[in-house]
Amino acid sequence: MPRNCLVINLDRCTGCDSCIVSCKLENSLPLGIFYNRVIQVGPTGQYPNIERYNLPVQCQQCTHARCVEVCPTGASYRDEKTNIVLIDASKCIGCQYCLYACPYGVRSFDKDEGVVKKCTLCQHLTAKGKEKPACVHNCPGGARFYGDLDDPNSDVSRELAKYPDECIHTLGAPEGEEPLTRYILSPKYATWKELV
Amino acid sequence: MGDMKSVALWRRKSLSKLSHAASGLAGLELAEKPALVEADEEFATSGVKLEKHHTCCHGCYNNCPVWVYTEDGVAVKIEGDYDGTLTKGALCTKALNQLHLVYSPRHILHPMKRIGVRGGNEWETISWDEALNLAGEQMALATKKYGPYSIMVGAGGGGTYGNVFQRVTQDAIGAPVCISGGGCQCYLPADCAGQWMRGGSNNRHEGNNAREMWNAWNPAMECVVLWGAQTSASGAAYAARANADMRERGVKTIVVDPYFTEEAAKADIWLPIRPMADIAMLLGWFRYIIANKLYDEQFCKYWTNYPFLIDPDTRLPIKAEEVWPDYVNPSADPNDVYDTPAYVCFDARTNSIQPFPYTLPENSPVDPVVFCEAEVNGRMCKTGGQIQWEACQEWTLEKTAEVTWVDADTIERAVRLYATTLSGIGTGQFADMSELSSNFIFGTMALDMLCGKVDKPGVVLTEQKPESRHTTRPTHFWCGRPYQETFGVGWTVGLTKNENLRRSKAAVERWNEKGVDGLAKQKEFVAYQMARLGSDHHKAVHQWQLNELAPVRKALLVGEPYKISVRWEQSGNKYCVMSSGEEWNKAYSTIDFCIHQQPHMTSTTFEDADLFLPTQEWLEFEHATEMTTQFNQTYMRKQVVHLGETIDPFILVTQMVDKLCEKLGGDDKVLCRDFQFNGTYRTKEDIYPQWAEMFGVDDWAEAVKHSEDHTLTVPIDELYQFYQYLDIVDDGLPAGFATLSRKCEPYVTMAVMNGHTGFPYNFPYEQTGPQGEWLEYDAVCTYREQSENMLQDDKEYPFYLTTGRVAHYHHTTLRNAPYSRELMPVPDVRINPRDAKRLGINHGEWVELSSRRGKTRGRAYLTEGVRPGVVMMERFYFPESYDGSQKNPTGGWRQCNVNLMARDDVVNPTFASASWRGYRVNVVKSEKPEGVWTEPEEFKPFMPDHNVECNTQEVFHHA
Ligand code: SF4
Ligand code: SF4
Ligand code: SF4
Ligand code: SF4
Repeated sequence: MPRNCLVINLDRCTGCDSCIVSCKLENSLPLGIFYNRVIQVGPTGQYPNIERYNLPVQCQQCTHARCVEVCPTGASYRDEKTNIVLIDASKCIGCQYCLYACPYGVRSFDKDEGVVKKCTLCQHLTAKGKEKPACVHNCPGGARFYGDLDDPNSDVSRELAKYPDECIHTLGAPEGEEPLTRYILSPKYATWKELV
Repeated sequence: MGDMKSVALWRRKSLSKLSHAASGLAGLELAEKPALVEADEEFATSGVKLEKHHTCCHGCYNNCPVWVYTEDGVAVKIEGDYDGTLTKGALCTKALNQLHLVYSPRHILHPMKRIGVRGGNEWETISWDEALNLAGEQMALATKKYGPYSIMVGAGGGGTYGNVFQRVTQDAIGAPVCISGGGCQCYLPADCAGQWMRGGSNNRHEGNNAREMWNAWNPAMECVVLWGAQTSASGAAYAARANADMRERGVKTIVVDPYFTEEAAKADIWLPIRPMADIAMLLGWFRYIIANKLYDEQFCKYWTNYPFLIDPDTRLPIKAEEVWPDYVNPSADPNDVYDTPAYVCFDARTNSIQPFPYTLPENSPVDPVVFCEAEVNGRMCKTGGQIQWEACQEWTLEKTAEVTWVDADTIERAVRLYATTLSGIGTGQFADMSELSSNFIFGTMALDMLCGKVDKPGVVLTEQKPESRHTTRPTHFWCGRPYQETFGVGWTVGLTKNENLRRSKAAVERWNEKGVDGLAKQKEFVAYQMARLGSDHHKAVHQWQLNELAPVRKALLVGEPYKISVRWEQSGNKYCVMSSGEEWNKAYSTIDFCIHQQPHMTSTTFEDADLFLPTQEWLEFEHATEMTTQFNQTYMRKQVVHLGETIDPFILVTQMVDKLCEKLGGDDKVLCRDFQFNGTYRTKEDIYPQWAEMFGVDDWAEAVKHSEDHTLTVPIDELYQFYQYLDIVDDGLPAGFATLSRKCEPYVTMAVMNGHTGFPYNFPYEQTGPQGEWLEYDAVCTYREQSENMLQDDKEYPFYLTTGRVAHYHHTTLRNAPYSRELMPVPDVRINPRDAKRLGINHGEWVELSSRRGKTRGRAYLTEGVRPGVVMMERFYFPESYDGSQKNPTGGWRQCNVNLMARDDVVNPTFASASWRGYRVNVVKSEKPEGVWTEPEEFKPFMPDHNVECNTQEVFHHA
């Protein structure tokens, strides 16, 4: 099964928020609803001995997806074909258990529609394998990559291959979630901070 | 080509309303909307027409190439073009938000006339005929009553399409007063420095200079200094992407910035400089490089004017003929057309002063000494190099560290890395918005020249275009417009005085032949130029036909030296981008009639406008030359949609001047009716042939349907050009530079001459100082601090204010874009947590800032990215303040407007640059101001309104 996800190279990310706006326009998200956010990590230290980086966060495509586990209706599910975690809005009853279960806070509750929403990895664009997610396509830093971690020729694998292990990170996984999203951050720019 | 089906399906629900709105207007241009149509079966049956169009963004001046998708003519998606040489598909939030701007309920689609009082915000829609009549009448009335100087033009400030149409319009009607929030405060100093010091481009990192660092094809650059250049914000998609690639290629960066910018966070060396201590830092670099002999001596000797001995009285380089009247300059043009002067140097071979003719270095009769003094005609004279050395001599590393607040070791590491690698300095705009504008730009350019970092691989100062190779001695006129040809005014650098005079006379003759008194016309033009307010003190304002700001305000208030009656505001929102808002507000109230042209209503519309003329957003705007080039590509700017009766500003200004002439009783009643057509046009049909020719197509209107097929691309190996100055040209000499001496001029002779007589702008006439005296502008980088600086002990205003850019907004634009505002609803006041703690301010709390001039509010953003004692804030205004839902509508420019504290009463002597940053402030805790939205849901009224007339025809057509 493919392990599709986003890989984000923080050495290249400028914190411009274009990924947020790309995502909102692509997915027609209402005001106040976001599938992704860009967190400023730092500056830590004291001026001028400081460091910082930007951390874009969206659904991390957990191997052990807490959201799926807690969903009482099966609305949050792992798609059999693509192996990615999605939400079937028609089954969502808006109980928001998943919102609290997700350790990364990447799900939003759409009050108007009464359902929970999250990043779909732009399935409507990516499913056929031709197009990239909107946030990846437009990313000013050229910092975002989409693809299958298990395919050595995918964009994500090729970008990761450029960096030694010390530059590759995942968000903390308090309950063994094993998120797929990899972050690249070179120690020469900043040290990775465990935030979760 | 993307997968149109899925895009469309995804959107169909939300678009049913739009499709409906659009189809109601079938029969207009909609039916002919061109470009790639890739409807799949499902959509074919649904009848929705899908198209994809190529154009370029105009969210800022970077022109990133984009694809726009339409469904039944309605733009539904914008994405980056992977074929952008440097952008590779990148697009920033400003570009993406165009979808919300073009369909914004605030995008005005018909001319509006104010009813009721100014500030009452009541408007009546009128026809274009009525609007033009009204504007024409009012301008004619002012002209008859007070003369043409009484019409004032407003430029810059964001959301305008360049400045050319404004300048030629002023020239046409002879209206000298034009002010800009940018201009003297943005890029004009760099524009002058590039021309004056090397006859070409400058070191501004953003835009189309300083691009060698992005040379991925033949990478040579090892290090780049980003000096106050916040590239990730100002070039959010273009330069940010190119810089990320540059860093990945291993180019080292030295970042000089008081704030811990994105660039600083990724720098190899960051110099956390005290805000506005940059001149001290530059002088420290000069001294270190000269004292440690890290400069390029050969280049300085033969390719700069540093070895020229300078007359201590005139401050001009001494010409050989002044010392040896019978000297025969071997390099002089026998036809007296091209100018190649011989100067005077101290020759190391003979230990004496000698004539220094222009030759190839190996043919030079002298070995000039760069740093020395020598007696010439009985007076001790210093070389240009010596003058710069004396200006920097005291700036040891220790002293530089003490004054700039960066430790000496870090400074030394930075300057050594810079001086010992293939590198260059790329600058940001920051110093232009300060009293230090000339000092900074002259200093940074001169440092690169001192180190020989000019026109070779791996440096910043390069001329990257095929046309930069020469076959004759290079020449330079300060702009592309034909002032010398038309009015016989101005000096072409590189031509002799006699040739300039001949050209001037020929222009006068051409008027005479047409039956117009040429000399009178020339004098009328010069008088119009010299009438620019403050230009007697700050003569470089002529570079962009601008005025010093404070004297304009004074003229408005007191009617001296002349009455200003009509304001024709062509920029977004001057209340947001300029200082002294309250004073301007009073001054503008004296205006008899104010016309505001913009795509959207701003505070300016609310406060001042009597007539609002709607111009086009960039998805509606078509052009071939204006903002169409990025790096090596020039795009066809395509009109993808067109709403209501919005119009192209180039057409608007032309139609307005036509109307003015009509009301005045003829084209001969203005300064020079036809001059406007050096940039504008009456209708698109009029300009299409020119555009077609430029793009090498037969029929523009046909070709632009497939704009994607016509991008003009300069091949990379033709783009990158080096060593142009060494090309041997038709006089048998190396081409050199398009400067007075044919060499680089780190000793800025042009600045001295400009101060004396206003050279080159009014030649053959002279503009001296207010008392007829010569003014003395700096010729080298000289120490200077802001009038209010951080070295002062100021108990009343203990903090220091600096500003910076954010990626989300360009100038005054996009404050009505809901997806930007929900991310950045109000301006942050960045403050050090230790300061905040002392003041009892928590992150996200409201604070009030005040200076000696005004006060404003913002939301505290606690960060160690700023030094204790410094606060940083970006410009803002609130279009929601005049939303219908507000109980007390206001112009929205008083609540959070950093510029209310800024100043224009002290300015840079050469460029009249006011201080939009770099002054003392105080900070106290405060409350959220009235009429400001902060929560995402509040921005609903700004969400797009698709219930509008879509894809209508252009208003003006060829007769
Ligand atoms: S769009 Fe790219 S560069 Fe900008 S914040 Fe997102 S990941 Fe970073
Ligand atoms: S990141 Fe959150 S939403 Fe995404 S799979 Fe993991 S638990 Fe679920
Ligand atoms: S992959 Fe698509 S849905 Fe997910 S964050 Fe990016 S744009 Fe949004
Ligand atoms: S950098 Fe400027 S031109 Fe490029 S996408 Fe952003 S706003 Fe548009």
